[in-house]
Amino acid sequence: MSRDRILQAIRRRIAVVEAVPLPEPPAPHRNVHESDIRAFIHAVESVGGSCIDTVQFPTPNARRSSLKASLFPDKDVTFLDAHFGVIENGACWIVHDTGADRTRYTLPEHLAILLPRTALVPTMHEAYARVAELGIEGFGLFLSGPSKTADIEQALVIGAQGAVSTTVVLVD
Amino acid sequence: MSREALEPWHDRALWFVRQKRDRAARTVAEWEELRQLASQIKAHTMSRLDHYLERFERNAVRNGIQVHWAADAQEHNRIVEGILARHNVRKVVKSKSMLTEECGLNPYLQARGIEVIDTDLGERIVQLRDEPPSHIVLPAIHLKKEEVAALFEARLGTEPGNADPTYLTYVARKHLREHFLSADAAITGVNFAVADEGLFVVCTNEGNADLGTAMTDLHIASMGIEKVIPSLEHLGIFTRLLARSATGQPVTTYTSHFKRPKPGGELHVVIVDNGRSAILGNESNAQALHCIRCGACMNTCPTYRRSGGHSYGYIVPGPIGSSLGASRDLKRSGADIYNCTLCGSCSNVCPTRIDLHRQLYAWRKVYVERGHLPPKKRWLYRAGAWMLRSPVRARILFGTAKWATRLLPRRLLYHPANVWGRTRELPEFAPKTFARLYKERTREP
Repeated sequence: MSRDRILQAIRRRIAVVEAVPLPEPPAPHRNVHESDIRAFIHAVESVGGSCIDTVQFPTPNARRSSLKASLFPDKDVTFLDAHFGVIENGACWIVHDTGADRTRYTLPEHLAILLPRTALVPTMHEAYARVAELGIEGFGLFLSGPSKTADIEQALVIGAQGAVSTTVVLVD
Repeated sequence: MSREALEPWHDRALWFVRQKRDRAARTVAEWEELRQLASQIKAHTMSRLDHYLERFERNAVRNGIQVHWAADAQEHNRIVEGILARHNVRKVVKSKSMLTEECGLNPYLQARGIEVIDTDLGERIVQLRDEPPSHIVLPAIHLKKEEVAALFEARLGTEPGNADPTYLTYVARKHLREHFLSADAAITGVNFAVADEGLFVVCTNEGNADLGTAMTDLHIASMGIEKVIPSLEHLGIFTRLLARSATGQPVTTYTSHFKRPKPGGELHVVIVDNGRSAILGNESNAQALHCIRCGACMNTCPTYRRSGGHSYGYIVPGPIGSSLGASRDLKRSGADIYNCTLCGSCSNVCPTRIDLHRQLYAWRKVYVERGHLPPKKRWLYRAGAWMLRSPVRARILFGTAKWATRLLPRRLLYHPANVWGRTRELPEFAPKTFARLYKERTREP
């Protein structure tokens, strides 16, 4: 059987290898400040997305339906929820319910991602610490901006195959 | 326009990507620390690879993933075909996977009546041109937009002469969506397999892996044995390094974690050896298994930038491809390992700090030891070594060469026997040698 053959070949080869200790990854750090929110918004914009901070609105905790009407009056927008965002790269860890249709992350032209405004982590180290706490059911996705490609002569084109636009909506 | 005339353009395009990588790396203060960590994690995992693969398998099976093992390319292709045949699959959408290129999966499936659509835009372009990718991250980097426009005009019916990348990309988007809608199964590669969780991660910018796997209920993922890492926390390090090294982005647009099949669907992982285990434990080239396929070594390589991916003897080009190719078929990769300038730039940008240029140097020794060097070169190298071994002989050689290149007629210098001179001009010798300059300067008060 190939499984055992492969594993035996591996064991033969690594028998001569000195065991290398597994290093400690950097420790997760610090709480989120107001300046981090600005840094996150900047990161989202730098990956081609946009960001709306509803704290500026008179009724920041508006419901999804009214948000849709007020923010995207003439666009067919699909709303996604995010557990948290990553300041260094604008990525959002999307809430995925088991059994939910996964086409909703890629098929719609326009996505709006609802993100609690204080649910930000500095880097991917803290991000994966959070993912470990939350646990992954069947599928999990970090989404950072709209779909993009530069496969034709290095020209950046937004909207290659998935969403053409993504808007992160920071809510309280 | 000849391909040779495109050389400066190709060189600049790749150097531009290298510069983006530099800018992205500089935004992370602990960048070098991350590279060191990545290198250690890979070294550790490889030193206990059997343990981590078994752990990954156990946890993946617990998650409902069906795990298969393939000793070589043929077995991989047979396994994939078997799964597809059981589901009567007629058309499969595939996202980028260098492993399936290595195994020749596309021609294998097509010969058995299964249509394979490569869905990464660059890969779709080269597939429509019936040629291999020329770069592992930027498969169509060797093509001008006008060439893509001509291809799309012939195959996808785009407006004649319209080479606007946005226009062409949107036509491809529509074309590929038709294939996504009508496909029966999806094949993806694997960027990282997490042993503790029994899940695997696929990174794309276009979202084509997500689209393909979301639209179909059968997902087959092919991974080399070296793709496994111990736990989730290590993903933090690799996801910070991968996209920054590859394209200068802070992270890929889609970083997708596949842990269980969809309700009612099937999820398969094929773990492939195909020569990898033979590299384990080799002092000179074992680190080749630490590669995370970012392509940074290609973007920076002075040889790759000028010659392009199709000039290499192996499906993976550039420094890493030259080393991997050499471990597969050393005799065939002679040109690749000798075209390296040993400048070491690849080793300096590699996110897992693979000693790439050292590996290529080490391969040359093996190449000579095994007698692969053609007699003419062997004689030349021997003569060269004899001349350079003695300072006196070296001085005589350089002195003679200086005058010879100046005085001898072109017909003699660029004699057909001088293969090197067919496409190159001899450089002009400096009026004074380094040794002479050094002597003069140290003599000064």
